[in-house]
Amino acid sequence: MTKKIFSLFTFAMLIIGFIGIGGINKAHAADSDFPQGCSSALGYSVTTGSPCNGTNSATVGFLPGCTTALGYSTLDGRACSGSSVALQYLAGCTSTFGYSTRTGAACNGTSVATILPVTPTPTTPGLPLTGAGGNAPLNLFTLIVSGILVVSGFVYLAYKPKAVK
Amino acid sequence: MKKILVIIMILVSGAIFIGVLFSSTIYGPNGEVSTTEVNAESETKSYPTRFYIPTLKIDATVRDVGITKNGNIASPRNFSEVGWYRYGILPGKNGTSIIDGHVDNGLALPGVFSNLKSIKIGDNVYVETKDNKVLNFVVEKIEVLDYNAGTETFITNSDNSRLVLITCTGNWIPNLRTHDKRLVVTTVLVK
Repeated sequence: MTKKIFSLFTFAMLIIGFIGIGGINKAHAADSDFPQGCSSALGYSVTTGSPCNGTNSATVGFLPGCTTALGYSTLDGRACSGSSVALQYLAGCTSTFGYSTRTGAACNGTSVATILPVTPTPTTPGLPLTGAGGNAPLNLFTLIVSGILVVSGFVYLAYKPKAVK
Repeated sequence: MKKILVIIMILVSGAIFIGVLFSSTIYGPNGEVSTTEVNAESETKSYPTRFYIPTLKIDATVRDVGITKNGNIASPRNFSEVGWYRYGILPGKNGTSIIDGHVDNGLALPGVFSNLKSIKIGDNVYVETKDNKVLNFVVEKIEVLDYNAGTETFITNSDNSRLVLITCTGNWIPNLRTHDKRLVVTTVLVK
């Protein structure tokens, strides 16, 4: 019975592993599906100027049911990238914020980038706390007390009086 | 029963002993908070990696540091390393870059900048970058500021490249758990 459960578990793990690897390959394939300088099949390559859909005339704007090059069309369910695989993020993007580090295009798939929401960082921050020596008395006290407790505990365990028979 | 209590006491005391020893000598929490802001400088190949002051025998690894929840520049987590403020300027670029370091650790043993108070105007300071460039700065000003002075007093947008070194000095303020002064050494790039 245990062997059976173990075999089933191993088999399930193998399946999950294969699915995972397949997913990674798919993501990479989506990235390399398009000509150089293109994040999707829409528009023109930023490096070569050629149409990104591989034909003589570029697809301008977005596919029906799409407002960006990301995800799927709400009308027909096809990938908005113009390829067979829908894009989660454009090439050179790790989110839908900002610009692609590879092509310079907006990462949200539109012509205008969404600005990254930021935790404001002061332009003139305060001075750092670069010393801890004032904590030394407390730290030393804690070290000594905890050290004594450990040692005395061991001593007690080693020399504790044997029970009188 | 007594034996179990003694074993628990040994384990708890041992954990406290190791934790305090570790945090006061090797790893000091610096209160840094994560922000979603990208680094001011994206040229990672120019990031500083090593820091030298030959006259003071300082030779330290440079770590990039951010900011604390109180808006202060974070300090390096390790008492033997220095921290470069990553939301500021890269050393060697026009403007003011900042490197900080601890003066002492949690057992009052010397930190990386314990000797910084001995630096003199004209001393050389070197910063090595990830792409193996060595930048030579020379000390031009040494000042002591209040702990809450802010950095606007020395951050400038000048045409020169300046590197400011900061560490703690003065007296300990127990309720704030920090020193009341900061030693600020301003250096200027010469080559």
